[in-house]
Amino acid sequence: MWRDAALVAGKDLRVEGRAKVAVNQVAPYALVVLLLFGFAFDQDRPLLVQAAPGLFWMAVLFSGLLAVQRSFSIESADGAIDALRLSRLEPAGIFIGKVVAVAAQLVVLEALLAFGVVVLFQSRLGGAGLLVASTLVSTAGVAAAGVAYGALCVGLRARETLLPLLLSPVLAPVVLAATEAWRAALGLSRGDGWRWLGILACFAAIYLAGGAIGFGALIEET
Amino acid sequence: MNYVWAAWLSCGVLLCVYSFRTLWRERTLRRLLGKKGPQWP
Amino acid sequence: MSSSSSLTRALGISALAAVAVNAWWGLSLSPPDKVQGQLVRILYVHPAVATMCYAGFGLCALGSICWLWPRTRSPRWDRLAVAGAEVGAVFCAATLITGSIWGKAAWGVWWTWDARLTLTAILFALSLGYLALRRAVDNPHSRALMSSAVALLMALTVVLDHYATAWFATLHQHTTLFKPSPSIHGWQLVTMCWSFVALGLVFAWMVVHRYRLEALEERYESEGYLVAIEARRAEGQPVSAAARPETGRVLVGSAASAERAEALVEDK
Repeated sequence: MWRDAALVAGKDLRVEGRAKVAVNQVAPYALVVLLLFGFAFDQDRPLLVQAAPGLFWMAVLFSGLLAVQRSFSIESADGAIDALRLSRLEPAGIFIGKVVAVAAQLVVLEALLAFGVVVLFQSRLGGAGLLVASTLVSTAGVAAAGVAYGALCVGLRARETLLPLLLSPVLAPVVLAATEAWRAALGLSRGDGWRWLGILACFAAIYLAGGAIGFGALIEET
Repeated sequence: MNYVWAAWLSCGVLLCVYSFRTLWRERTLRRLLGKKGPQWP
Repeated sequence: MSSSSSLTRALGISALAAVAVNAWWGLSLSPPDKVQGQLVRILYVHPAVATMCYAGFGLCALGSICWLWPRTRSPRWDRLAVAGAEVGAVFCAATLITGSIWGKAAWGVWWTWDARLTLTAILFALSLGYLALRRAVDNPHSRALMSSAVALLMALTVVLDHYATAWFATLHQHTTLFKPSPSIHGWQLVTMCWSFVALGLVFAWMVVHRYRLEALEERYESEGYLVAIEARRAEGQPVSAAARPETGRVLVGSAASAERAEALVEDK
């Protein structure tokens, strides 16, 4: 299973390395979203600093949706998904591989966005341990839920609009908990950030396990 | 008291509209797939 | 061509009667509250509606689990799931509307970021996603499989949301009815309990009809195209001289097509 996962992840990342869709389109889009948040808050600097964690995670949510859609649009082109089905790779392995590929892209994107938040909103990053841990765990959760629902929608009518509708409310607890963990890490709130990390870990575990178990059945159906 | 009326009425209207819509769809389908043999509209 | 059996008709009539009694007691007979005044009358509809919303989503989860479990797999469970989800979504919308009217009257704002409100709003969004997914899949088996998988994942999400929103903010009144010594008395208690009975009957009636509608739609999906083929074939056939007038022709055509369609269905 792990070997299959590595194969699929390597394939997805190689496709990205050649097509450079995440680099050339998703990352600039995420930065534009940050800029637009700046306009929405009318350059109110203290307010932007207060809201920075939430805005960061909203930007991650939007670009995560795009990353997931991209991850499955490369499969639906040229019947690649049929090849994947017939390849005798383990479904759980395919799932983990795709999650790893999406998560890797998201982590790079998040580093870029964090840089953008520091430059544009003049946030001061701190609490490194909690910050990094919560970011990695919530990225795993976002990628796992995204790949699970992406596989569900891949063969459906109107999948471009159905995926955001299905995924956004599901990711609501992640956005909430990750924002609160970041606020605690940056010293913006007195809340216990590690408790929020617990919720994030539960979410990631549920979706990783659920996706790994159900992925085979889902991919057969679409 | 206005708020009370608003709450009761909005709730009642919503439930009534949904019920009638369900009944209407059921009636249409029954007409199409009736016992005497299905008919196309 | 009636759309109800005698049992559901009795259920529907008793639901209507119960709601009428509920409105009479709740809107005029029961006295205004000492603290909340007339506003207490919203509480003769809002908590019951909210409970029916949870009951609907509970039915959806139950149907999904029973469909996924190989031994109990049957299209019936899938129908129960969709009936529960759709009726639950309607009651969820009613909960949000009556709740925000209550909020405006009691707290002065239409919306506040309280745990239960936020959770209900997320629940509503999740149920809309579930229903949209069902509409996007044609094959009944894949539809049942995908939607029950999604329903289970969503149920788990709701559990997490419950904790997240509870830590996030809490302002909502705690449950007052099921404590050992209820803090409301007399007519108010009776009316409130009755509202649960009345809306429970309405809920049951709605679920039964929505379940039936789903069964009819499944039949229509599997038989409908036969009907269409037969109707087109009948149109193309030469018509006898006796049936020349336009109306007669349509009647003859449709009767013959109906018989043939039925034969085809039986063949299948």
